[in-house]
Amino acid sequence: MANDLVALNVTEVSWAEELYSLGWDDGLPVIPPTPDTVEKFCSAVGLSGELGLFRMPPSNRLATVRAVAANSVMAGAKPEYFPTILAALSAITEPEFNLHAVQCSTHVVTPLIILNGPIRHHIEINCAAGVFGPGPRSNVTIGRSVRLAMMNIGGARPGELDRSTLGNPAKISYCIGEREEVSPWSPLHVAMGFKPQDSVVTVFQAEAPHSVTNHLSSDPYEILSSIASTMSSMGHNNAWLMGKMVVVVGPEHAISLGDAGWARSDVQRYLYQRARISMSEFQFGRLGKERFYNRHWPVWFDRGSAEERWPVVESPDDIIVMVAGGDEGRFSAVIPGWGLRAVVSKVISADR
Amino acid sequence: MQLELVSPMGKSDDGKVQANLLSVDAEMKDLTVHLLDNGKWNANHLFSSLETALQDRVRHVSRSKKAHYSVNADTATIQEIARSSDFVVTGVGD
Repeated sequence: MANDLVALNVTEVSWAEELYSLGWDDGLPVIPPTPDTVEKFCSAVGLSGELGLFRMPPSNRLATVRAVAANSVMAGAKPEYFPTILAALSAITEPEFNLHAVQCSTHVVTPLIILNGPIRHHIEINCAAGVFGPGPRSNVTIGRSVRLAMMNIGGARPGELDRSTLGNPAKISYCIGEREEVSPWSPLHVAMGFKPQDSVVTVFQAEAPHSVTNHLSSDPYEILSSIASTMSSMGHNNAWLMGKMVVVVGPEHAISLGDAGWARSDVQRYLYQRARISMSEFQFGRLGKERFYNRHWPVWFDRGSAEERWPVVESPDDIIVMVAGGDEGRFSAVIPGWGLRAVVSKVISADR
Repeated sequence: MQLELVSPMGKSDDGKVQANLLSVDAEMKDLTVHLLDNGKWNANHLFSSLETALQDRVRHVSRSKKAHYSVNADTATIQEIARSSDFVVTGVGD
């Protein structure tokens, strides 16, 4: 038997339960990664199963094509999703993403996978109603494939090397598509410098999405004030150490902003000016004594002024603005980040 | 029946690690220690206390801080630490 094969005695009735005994799961049942199903994934990308792709922290085990395919089979993915899965894993294992820290942090951080370009249609990625879930198969199993690989190849399991205090439902699966067709702005990947016809995966060190409800306003200032208020929470990492944030503008809000002539850069600048936290908040409302000293604050931040307000990102460009969601409902979402260099993008290549 | 399954675990090294380790006979008083602060709040306080505790027990204590907890220390810093130190303490988790 090849050295990456495992034999498991099962019955036609008990196989799902027996697979749990292997410890390869994320709490949900997994599809058996048999050699023939795994080979379909390898064939889908034209790669030898034995090919080593990257090392995955914190264990730094080598991810072979077969191992990644096995995780994808277990997740319930289809072979046609495999180029996207490989591109996402390639992105998160880039040194600048610092996956080791993401995997082991006490924070809730997990990679958010954002898809742009024609791939969304080819593999039926949901960009519209219910974009964050549940379903469909493509979104959920791509996200789950990445997470299972992070757990099995990377070795980060809750309470063990994954030290997240609370965990996060998005640690099961977190994959969305941008609804480029209703956005008043250029697609996210084009704004990042890719060609419109490129299929691109972007990964972001993310918290779960925070809903922004504004059913009252069509005025851009009012819509964005709601978003800025949500961005200005004391509870996320950006409050203390800045970094990047993703703002998912729902289509109804996006139409209002676009009809009013607001460019993406206008949105970013307004949010940068308004999404701030006051010194009073940092002192937890206790005046007269500086209770919190942040040695990371630069000199241009006036610690001595009660009116000083700290931005949650370093620059407007650190606010990643995209459009997704259904046609009905005046909602948007804010996704705080975790680290300084939180974003990596890769072209998804079907021909490898 | 028996199912044959492909392992999703990837490949590990065979357990051998190449490293230049300190001799167990090394005397602390001959050692140079580096404290690498990852930028978390309590790292500063912990390493200040640690530096005080070590100062009279080792040959030299040096310190540096990463730009941000979320990024790796830069290559030049790591190389310099490796060149000039016998062992490194880094942290903290929170």
